[in-house]
Parts: sequence; C-alpha cells; structure tokens
Amino acid sequence: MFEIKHCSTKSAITVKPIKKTFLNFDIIRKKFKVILDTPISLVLEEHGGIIVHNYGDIIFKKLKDKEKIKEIAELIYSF
Amino acid sequence: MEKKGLLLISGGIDSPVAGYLMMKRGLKLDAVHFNNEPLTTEEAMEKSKRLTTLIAKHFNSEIDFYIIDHGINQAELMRNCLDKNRCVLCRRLMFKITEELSKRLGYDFIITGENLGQVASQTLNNMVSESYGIEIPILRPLLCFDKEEIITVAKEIGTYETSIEPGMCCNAVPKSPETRSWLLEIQNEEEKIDVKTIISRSIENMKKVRIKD
Repeated sequence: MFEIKHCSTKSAITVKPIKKTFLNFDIIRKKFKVILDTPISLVLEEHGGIIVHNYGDIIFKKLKDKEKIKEIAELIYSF
Repeated sequence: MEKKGLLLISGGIDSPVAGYLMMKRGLKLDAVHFNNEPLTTEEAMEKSKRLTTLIAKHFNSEIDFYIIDHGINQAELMRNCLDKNRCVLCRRLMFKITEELSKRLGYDFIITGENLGQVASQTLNNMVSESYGIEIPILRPLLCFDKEEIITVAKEIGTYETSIEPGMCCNAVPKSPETRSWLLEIQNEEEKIDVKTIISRSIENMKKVRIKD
C-alpha cells in the first residue's frame, strides 16, 4: 500500500503511497489538530509534526518510530 | 560611508560560501534567514545560525542574523497560486521582503548563493521573474561556479560539514516547479496575494540575533 523511507536529506521520514492516492483533507482535519491549513498540504501538530500532501505523501518531521508511523499512515490512508 | 549587504542564508552549502566571498572582498554583511516552519523543522534555522557564526569567525566580525517567519507566507501561496509557479513566487517574496528590510535598515546590496541551473528556481528565466522590479542590486557571487568549486570553498572555510548535516528540506516545493516562468504570468499570479501585507507582517514579526565570532 505504501513505502516508508528517509527523505533525501535523511532528516525526516516520508511515507509514499504505491498507487496514486488523493487524501481526504476534510476527515483529516476532524481527526487531527491542524496548525497550517492549505488546499494542497496540511501540517498536523501530533507526534512532532506531520505534513500531509493532497497527492498522498506524508512526512513525519520528528517521529522515528516506524511502527507508529505505519499505524498513523494506515489511518490517514483509510479515510 | 561603508557599504553593507544582506545575505539570504539557508542551511545549505551555497549561501554561506557566497557570504564568505563577499566579505572577503570587503563588504560588511548581515544575514537574513527565511524560516519555513512548520513546513520544515527548526534545524535549517539552527544550521543557518551556526553557518553565520562560522563566517563571522573568519573576519572577526559581528553579524546581525534576521529571522523571517516564511512558513505562513508559503501557506498564502499554496492557498492562492498555481502550484508550478510557487517556487518563483516564494523567491520573489523573499526578495521583496529583503528589499524592504534593506531600505529600512540601510543595506546597499542583497547577496544570494544562487547558482545557475542548480535547482528549478535558479534558471535564467526564473531569475528574471524573481528579481524583476527589485530596486536593491542583487549580487550573486556563485552564479557561474560548478558545484564542485563551491564545495571546495565550503570545505576550505569550514562550512561544508555543517551544511551537509541532515536537515529537512522545504515541503512547499510543488511536484513540478516551473523552470521557465513567464514574467507576465508571475505578475498576474502575484496579484492573487496581498504582497504589501505579507511584507509588513514579515518585518513586524522578524527576530534579530547578533552573532559574534
């Protein structure tokens, strides 16, 4: 469903869907605390900051726990 | 009166080298960092501060380090403007804010680490669009350097290792940024945002740190 890898600068962890995915921002807004809200990307406060792009990429700014990342990504992609 | 410049510094390899080369030629320099949080982490800002300190040490100099909250400006572009143009528009905003800061604080030049062709925003077309109408001269000492030449200088002056530390890249970059923007289209896009308010808000909320060697 998706792959988890370090971003190119090795700082953050990026989750990329295998297939083209369009994320449901309306539901994400209800389930998470949004600190930056645009039609293209959301920045969520939880877990040190999560950036969600409408084309499906999810970037975890600080969270390094891959199990937790997988759990959150599965939730977001399930919406 | 001594001329002075304002260096746009990121956490990368190029901008500290550009600053060093200008200071080596005798230009008094201060630095401005555009902080893209929350679209990135604080690492880029912290790296920029450390890089500025390293440059200051070379010249036994004090450097004023200005921090502009730019994430909120990026959000305006993401809400209102076409994706493909956002890198150019972002850069234009940075120049306009730096220009206003320069006028208020008496800087004569803006300095960047731009290097022709290295990234989407640094093509000739895009540089025209980005700097059109900016009244303060923009100096680009690295414009025609090879990347290897820049890295060589960075290693010589001791900034390279800091520059390559892990640091989250900007998450406002669109999937397909325009590499050959048309000035007229950029100007039309720019009318979709309130540039004057963005400039004044950015400067009102600006923070300053004095960096000493």
